[in-house]
Amino acid sequence: MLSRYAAPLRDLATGRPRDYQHRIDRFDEPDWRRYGLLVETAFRLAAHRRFRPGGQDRAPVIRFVASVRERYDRTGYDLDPRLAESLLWATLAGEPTPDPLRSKTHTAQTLLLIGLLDDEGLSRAELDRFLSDAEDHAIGDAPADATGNAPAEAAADAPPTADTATDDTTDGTAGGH
Amino acid sequence: MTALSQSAYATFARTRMDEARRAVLGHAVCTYTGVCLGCGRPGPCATLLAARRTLAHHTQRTVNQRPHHYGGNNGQHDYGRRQLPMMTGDVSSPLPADELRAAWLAVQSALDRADRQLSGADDPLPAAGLARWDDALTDAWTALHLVHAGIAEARRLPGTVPASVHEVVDGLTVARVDAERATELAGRVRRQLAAAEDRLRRTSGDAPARVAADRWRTAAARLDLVTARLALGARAIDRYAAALAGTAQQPARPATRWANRSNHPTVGVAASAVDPAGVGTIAAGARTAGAVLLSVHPWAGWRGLLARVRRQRPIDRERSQPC
Repeated sequence: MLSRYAAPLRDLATGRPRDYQHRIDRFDEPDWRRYGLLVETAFRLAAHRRFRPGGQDRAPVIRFVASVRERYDRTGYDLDPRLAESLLWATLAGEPTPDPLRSKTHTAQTLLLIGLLDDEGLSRAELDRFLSDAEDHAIGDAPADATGNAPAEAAADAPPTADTATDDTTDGTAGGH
Repeated sequence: MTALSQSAYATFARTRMDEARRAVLGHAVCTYTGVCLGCGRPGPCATLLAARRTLAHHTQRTVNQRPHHYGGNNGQHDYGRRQLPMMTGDVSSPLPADELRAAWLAVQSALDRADRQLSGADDPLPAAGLARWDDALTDAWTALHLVHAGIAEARRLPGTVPASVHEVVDGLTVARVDAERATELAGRVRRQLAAAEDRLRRTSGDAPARVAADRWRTAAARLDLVTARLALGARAIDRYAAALAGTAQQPARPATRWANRSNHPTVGVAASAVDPAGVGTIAAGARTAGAVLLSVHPWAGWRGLLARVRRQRPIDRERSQPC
């Protein structure tokens, strides 16, 4: 069973962004810190599963970033290609994340991670295993305050009740439906 | 009833299932030729059927209902796709043969359609484009052949005990080179597809031309997937070969923002105080990513269904009101 930090990522990877939004709305400050660490670790693992480390795969990385930008073209969101490529180069080279102070960096990291997982075509069980592995790695990377017990997300697939299902306030931010 | 005790029977059943799984892995049916890759007979061969019956017996499934851990979905049979762990290393990424075959069929379909629709045209440009497409089809066919050749090369390895690790690594290197060549071919076909689609869209506004261009775009998207899966398979082969050779390396870790802080005695306070990517930054980025994906999948999941119902309800009320 996935933790409450990995469950939102699974929702995103399986194309259920409303469930994702519902989960992250309940995050507090330590949760956000741990979630950020998990996204970064999962991104690193997924990138290493796809590309060779050490900058040998320049053309495939450029093509991959272009394909991710193409996927979100009709949403109106323009993924910065230089930022996206620099994120991939950095993680493949084992260097720190470039430009971590901007929210765009985290957005790009998330969209690239979803693109990598999409291309892998993982089954549900394989996706869960990947995220569990990422959590294990993240625990190894994290400082003491970010590795508290991660409560499991028991009702991952349960339909929302009327009082828990809130209207999405971010619907209009990325284009119409 | 059985004369064995419960634990003995469980051990017996596990052994039989392991044997059956090995048989299923070893007697996968080639999706392209329909021949069993284990014994060369037309597939599915008797060994494979017997192994499937054994698995069905011990997992209480019907023969046509595949065990979940053999991959595939919706009960659709795709033998030869997931049962080759040597190609993917850890069986975590599917083989690209099916996608490449689908891409080739899509290219062929697009070419046939374009041929029919452009047959009456006097302009030499479409004819020249179609002639080049024959070459592209040949390339795609060659790429498919290379994938299958790589699979056949790779799947010889675990069936027999190799003489040395070097042989296994050499075989995997050959398979990887094949995959790289297939990637190059798929990339070339993809570029030709994109150029042909662009040319057709710019030179003709007719509906049939648009349909042909849409088909080519679909074929190009499939080829993108082929390229991605080939890259994943190649990386898995790299990792597998590195593990065999004892040179496997974990992905480098210092990429995290918390790197080099976990050893500090006051790390708890320090990390939260000097964390360069503030919580607000992460939250804002995560919410933007969610909003972007929401516009791609607005109605997916239970919450999507609820949102859709809520959105339709006022319209239904308006319709139901008397004039």
